[in-house]
Amino acid sequence: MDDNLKIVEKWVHLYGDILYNWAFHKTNSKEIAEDLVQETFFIALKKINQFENRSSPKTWLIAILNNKIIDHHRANYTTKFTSIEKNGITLTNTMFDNENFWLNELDEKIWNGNDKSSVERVESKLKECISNLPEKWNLAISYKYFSNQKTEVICQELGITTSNYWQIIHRAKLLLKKCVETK
Amino acid sequence: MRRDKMIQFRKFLPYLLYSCKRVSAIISINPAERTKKEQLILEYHKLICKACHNYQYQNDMIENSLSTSNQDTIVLSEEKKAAIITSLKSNFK
Repeated sequence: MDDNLKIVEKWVHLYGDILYNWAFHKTNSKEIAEDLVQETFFIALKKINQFENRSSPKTWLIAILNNKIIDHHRANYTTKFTSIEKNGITLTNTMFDNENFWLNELDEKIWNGNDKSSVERVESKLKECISNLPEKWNLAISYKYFSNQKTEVICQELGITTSNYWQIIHRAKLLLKKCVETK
Repeated sequence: MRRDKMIQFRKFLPYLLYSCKRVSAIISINPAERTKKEQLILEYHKLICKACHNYQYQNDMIENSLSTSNQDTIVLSEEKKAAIITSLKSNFK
């Protein structure tokens, strides 16, 4: 066990940052990311005899971490977030009239500036707004922009169809637009 | 084009004149993953609808911003790494 412990100790130093970054981008929480990384190394040490060197330690550790992240999100889906997602759908629907045309056709001032400070203003508002998205939408956005994986792979990991995925991305972007304009 | 004219026009060309709600959903799809039909509907709609034209610009800004925030990296503190190792040692003795 001492040898195994030394190996995993080395991995903590070598891959700790990569795993932490990955977990943070998928959960948007430093505390949760830290916990998930710790649990990943626990499992790695427990199951190190099953690691057959067919993949790199990094790939194996990320696979363990991904399972932990999925477990974390599944646990959260069923408990807290369903109603918030319903609110998000209602909010995005109110952006259109009965004929499904935009209710507010005017271009909000915030989008108009092309200079650096205007872009930075939008970016900082977006960062705040992302954390207000319903959890499932936040997760889909994280996978899309932070994982560099193909759509099919993301859909497999999230357990949703491609059309459902694009619907979620679409609604999340509408909500981000609304949030940026109102904040 | 005025909204009421667009509604009238849609009766005759429902295939080409989708509603803004449906077109905004097409805008959200990665350009590379849009079908030719979706691309055609989008380009046509944008010619006559300034609001969707604006939304595509806003969507691009959101896309760019989210894509560049991907470059932000954070590190696990040395204290946390040490705490993980200590915890591993105490649990697997």
